[in-house]
Amino acid sequence: MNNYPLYQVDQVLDLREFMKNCLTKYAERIAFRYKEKGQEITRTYQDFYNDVQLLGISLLKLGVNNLKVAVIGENSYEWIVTYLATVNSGNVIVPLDKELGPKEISGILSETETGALVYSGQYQEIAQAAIKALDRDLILIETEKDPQTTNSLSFRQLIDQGKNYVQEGHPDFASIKIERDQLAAINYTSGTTGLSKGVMLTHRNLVSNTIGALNNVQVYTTSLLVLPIHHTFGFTAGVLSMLHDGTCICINGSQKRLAGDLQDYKPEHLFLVPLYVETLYKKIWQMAKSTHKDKLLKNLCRLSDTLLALGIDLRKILFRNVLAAFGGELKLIVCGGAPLDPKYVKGFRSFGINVLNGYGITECSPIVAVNRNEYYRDGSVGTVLSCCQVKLHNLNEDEEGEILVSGDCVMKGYFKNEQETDRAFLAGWFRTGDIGKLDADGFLFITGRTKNLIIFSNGKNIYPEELEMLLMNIPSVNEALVYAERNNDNQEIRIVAEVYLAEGYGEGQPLENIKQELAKDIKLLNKSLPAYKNIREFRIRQTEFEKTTTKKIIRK
Amino acid sequence: MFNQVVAIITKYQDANLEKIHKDSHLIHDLSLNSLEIVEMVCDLEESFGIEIPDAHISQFKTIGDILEYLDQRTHQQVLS
Repeated sequence: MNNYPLYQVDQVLDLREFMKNCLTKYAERIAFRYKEKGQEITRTYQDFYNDVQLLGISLLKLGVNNLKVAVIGENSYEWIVTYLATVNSGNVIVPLDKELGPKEISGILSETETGALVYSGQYQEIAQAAIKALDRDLILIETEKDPQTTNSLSFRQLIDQGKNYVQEGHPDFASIKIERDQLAAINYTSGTTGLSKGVMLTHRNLVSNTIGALNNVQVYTTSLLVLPIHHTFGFTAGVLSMLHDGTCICINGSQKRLAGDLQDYKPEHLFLVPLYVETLYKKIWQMAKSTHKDKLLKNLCRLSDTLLALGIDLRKILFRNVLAAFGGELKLIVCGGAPLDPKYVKGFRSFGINVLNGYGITECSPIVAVNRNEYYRDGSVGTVLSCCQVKLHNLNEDEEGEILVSGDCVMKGYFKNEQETDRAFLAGWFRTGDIGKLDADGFLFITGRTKNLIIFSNGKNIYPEELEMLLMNIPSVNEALVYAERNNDNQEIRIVAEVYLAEGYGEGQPLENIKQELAKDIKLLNKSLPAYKNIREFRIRQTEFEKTTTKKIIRK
Repeated sequence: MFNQVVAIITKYQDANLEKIHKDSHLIHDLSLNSLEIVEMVCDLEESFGIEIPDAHISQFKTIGDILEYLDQRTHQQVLS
């Protein structure tokens, strides 16, 4: 298998040019398909361009100029319009994780001094609770057709008003100057307890990564948007790259409707995190087992793999039933966000679905490397994108080193956090904290991590320090260390906390009582956190933790 | 209601029925992943004849959380 020239992609400098290019090339094509109360809606590239422009004008008329606009909600057309209207009116978008609680949201709104918050009807309660905790007013916009609250503006009315402003001869937002290195988005990497960081991404970062991704991977004409778009992988790969390629994006607004949406939209490609790939793969085999067809399926895989080695591809016929579960047209899955076991890549390939594994990090907008349609290596995360360079730092005897990245897709820095920004760069190269190696053909392999970040198969990240800080707020805890432990088959991660109790705490009491008290406190703490951050197990230490000279606990 | 909920959960994981109690954590004790939790929610919607918005799913951490939620929702339905 030899590498081949990069796929040709239109060059644009910023997200304004990006929008214009979409309009020029694909105006009449369908850009989005989605459902609203069971009814299917389609929007062309022209409709999309208009809506972005009209909302942008309305935002400017509301005085949202050079401000931050936060957005929270399920994946939706309105969410995407909000993002592009914001960045193209010279404002900065702050995408919020919909699993965050009101306290965490108000923390981000406060830190970023957000001027407007856009939310969907489902997240209305949480958004309202978050702004109550703020000591100032901000513009609220609800994307629901009929907003449920009186203190918010209607997204649809703003679009309609935008039309009036255009008719009245107000200059459109194209007159606002956009600089290539202007800040476009601030993406928060994890929780918001002070340890999370707001990654500042510019227009250059986002468009260069969009182009870089399309240089490596050729996509098809229909895509189903499954991953949450507040994550950069979901947005850059699932939205920006698709639009730049003129693809029709079918929006899966809820995981609950995934099976139905696969049937209704019949996507040709998907962007997923390993959790989906693993679950879908296991489901195929579970279904085969429950209908006593697992042996048959195994034999068909063997037969198909043998034929394929001889250049005969009968997968579409042999696995018609398997492919039907995905709508019948699925040809490609691009997977990123966390490590993926190569057995799933091989397994899906046997069925005729190419799984291309990639690697990225929010700070790099996010894609750094991805396997190519006709040039891939199992176990690797592919070749480095054209928008960046990778080098390995501090090589060990196995030629593995920390992955450093430089280039157009590397972030501007962390928002209001110079210290962390300085720490993140080494002579202009971004330190990913991941350990990897490059083979002679340019394939990148991820072999470990230097940072303490815990990564789950659904791409969710936890900084152990965040949980440690929360544990230290429990009066009986003096020191805490949080880490991940894997189960026997190396598949699942559980969060374990080790604590050293405050001096004199529970003196004279049986250890069992102390444990029970601490269990209660940890249960209470878990309740306030998203489920994946819950501490599953705790252990009480009899001695203090071993520390460095700077009094930091030495991690295992 | 408890038995009904447990019956739904055991569709996704071969959990030991006797070991499931109100405090069982869906992810940590019953080893459900986030996608399985969503599927379980679809089953709950069907069994209890209610719609559970996605924004509410993150509240479900333990069996007790589900029971409390269902209790509230089904009670509301009776009242309306």
